[in-house]
Amino acid sequence: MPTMPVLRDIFAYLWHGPPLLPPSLKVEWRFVVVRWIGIVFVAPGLPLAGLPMERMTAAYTVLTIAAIYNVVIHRQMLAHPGIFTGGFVTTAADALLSIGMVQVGGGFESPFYHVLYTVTISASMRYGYGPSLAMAFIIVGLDIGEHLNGSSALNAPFVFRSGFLCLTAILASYLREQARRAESALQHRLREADLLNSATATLGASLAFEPALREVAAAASHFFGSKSAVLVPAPSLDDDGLDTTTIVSDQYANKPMQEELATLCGRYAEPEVWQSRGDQLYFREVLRNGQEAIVLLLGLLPRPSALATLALAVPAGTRFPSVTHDILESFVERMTLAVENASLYRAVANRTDALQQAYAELATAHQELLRVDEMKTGFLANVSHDFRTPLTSIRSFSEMLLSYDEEPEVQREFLQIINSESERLTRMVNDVLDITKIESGHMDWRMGTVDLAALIEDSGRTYTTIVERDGLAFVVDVEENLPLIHADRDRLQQVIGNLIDNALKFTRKGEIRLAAHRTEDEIRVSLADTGVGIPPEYQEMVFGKFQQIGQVNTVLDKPQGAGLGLSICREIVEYHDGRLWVESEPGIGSTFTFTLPIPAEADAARVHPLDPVGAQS
Amino acid sequence: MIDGDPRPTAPASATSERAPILIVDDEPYILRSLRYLLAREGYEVETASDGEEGLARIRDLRPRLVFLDIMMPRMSGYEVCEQVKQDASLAGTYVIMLSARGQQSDRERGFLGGADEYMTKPFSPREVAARVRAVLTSDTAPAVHG
Repeated sequence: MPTMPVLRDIFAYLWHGPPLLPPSLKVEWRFVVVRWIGIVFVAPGLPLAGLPMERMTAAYTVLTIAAIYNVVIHRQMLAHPGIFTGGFVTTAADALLSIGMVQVGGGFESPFYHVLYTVTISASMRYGYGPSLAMAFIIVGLDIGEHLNGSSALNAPFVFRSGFLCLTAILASYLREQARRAESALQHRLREADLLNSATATLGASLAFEPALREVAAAASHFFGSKSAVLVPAPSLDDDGLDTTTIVSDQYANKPMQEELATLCGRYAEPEVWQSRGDQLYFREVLRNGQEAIVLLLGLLPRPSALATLALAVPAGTRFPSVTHDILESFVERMTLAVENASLYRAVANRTDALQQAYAELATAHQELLRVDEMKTGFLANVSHDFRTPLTSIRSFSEMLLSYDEEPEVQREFLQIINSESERLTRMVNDVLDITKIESGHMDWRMGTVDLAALIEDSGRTYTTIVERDGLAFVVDVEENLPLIHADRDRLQQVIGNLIDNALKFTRKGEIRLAAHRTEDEIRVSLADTGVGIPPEYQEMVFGKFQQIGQVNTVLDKPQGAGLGLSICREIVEYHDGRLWVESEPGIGSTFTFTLPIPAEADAARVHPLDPVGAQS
Repeated sequence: MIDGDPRPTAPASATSERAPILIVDDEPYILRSLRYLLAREGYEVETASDGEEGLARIRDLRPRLVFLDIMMPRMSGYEVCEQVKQDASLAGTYVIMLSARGQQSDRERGFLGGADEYMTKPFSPREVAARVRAVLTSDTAPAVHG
């Protein structure tokens, strides 16, 4: 039906008004429409009222005035909308016109009285109870006045129409109030939603922990219209040890208030508050400066305590909450999620860091293991190589002894070689066992009081013959009155023996000097030779455990033995809390020095004086 | 274990006259045992106790057979062997590497350097004597590349 859209357009126009009409004048527009409808209905109906001619003429005159008035209003409303805001002008004019119409049509007793209902109803729609009832009372007053003028009694029709007039005023006002309330409630909700959205718009913009907390505090101060907000994360959240207090909006002043707010936060952060808070979303406190504080607990229900506590300063007497409970709840929920997310992001970031670090450590450890494994393999290869040398002699000479009849002297020589090579092999095996034991911590240390001077003297006696057999001079030089120390005597002897053996291997001429003297808190024992020396870059390497054999072979040509003597020495000395090092110049000689700490009570505990020790050669 | 004649017959005098055997090793006892063993078997034996000295004596003596230790001061057995095999005037020198390093990679390296044989310590004297006999009694010199 083509007419339906046209009709709908017409109704829409009548209801909403012309497109440029300001929204505040919508009601006025509808009154314009109602007036037109009234005029259009009354004009053809007037003759039916059976009025005398002069009254009929007057009534049409009033109708014409009303029509002109409505046209003027219609036009002026678009041209000067300001005049009509509030509807005072039109209400007064409507009332005058209506009362005029009634008077012209035959007074309050006439059917024209019905026109007056529009006056009270329009006043109700515009202003509510007061003005519309006032209007009704004015009309009733005029009605009474007319009766008194006419000296007639107030009859039943008067009571009926006056009561009905007041009733319409009340009913219309009631409807208007309801509509207004609904609208204002809606507006309020819209404003709240706007506030909620604008306050939480920036939440979650930052992934970093502290900026995220600052956003939360900023959102809260925006939401509650507070200048000063303090947010304190729960200690469980604050595992980085960063500044726990986040302060916003009030950086410039009022430190005491911020501190007060922070203290409040601390008080409300107690788990008991969290657990006993029930449905309470916030708490109110009075601050020292008279302002009020709002304290909010941010947290998720299953948690044993709040994630963070937020305190805001608001002016005293602020109506609160200015928002409805569910909006506030939603806001608190959003802030909680923001804090929760921030802490989760941080936990993930921290864990990622920790994982990466652990991975790196693992990779390093793996590399180290591979390296150690490689060293062990090299060590075994070298040990097996070094073991083969004395084994070769033993096998060759014993087999030759068995194969050939030989003079007793030659047999004796072979047996001596076999014997000394067996001893060499035994020493090597012992060295390997020693280093393995020390490394695995299975070495059996026999610690006791040791007279180092006597021990060195002893070693001197033992080695003099051996050293001198190689054509070298052996000098022993021990300071008098060396204190007693706490040590494993046999192991120290092993150290000195190993150092002398080592010196013998690399010294062709000159001397080997074994010396000991005391410093402030330790005894230094040194063994100096005039051998081939060690280039600086290899000086630390000679103490190495696994790689030294190959290295030493290239550096110092070819040492005998499993090459473990020096690393055993270092292990033993370090077990005694001492140090072992070498100073050397290639071609001049090497000096190996080790230290042993003197116990605090050593001097007092000295039991017997040392035998005088002189240089031996 | 001992089933040979304790006094084996001397090898063909022709071979021992041709050239001496040279043993290069820095271990005095190894030198001592090989020298005794080969002398006992009737060969003329010379010794050197490091790589450099060994190479010099090889050039000097032009031995028919050389026992070479590998890990020696100043010059390794590998190097000595390479130099010998590269020297045309020393062609026909039979080189036996004698080392405590018995891994496959060590043997390969020895052969790459031109060694004719690779023996691992500890060795059996009788086996060494047998090898010497075999090398020196063969009429034709072994194929030597170098």
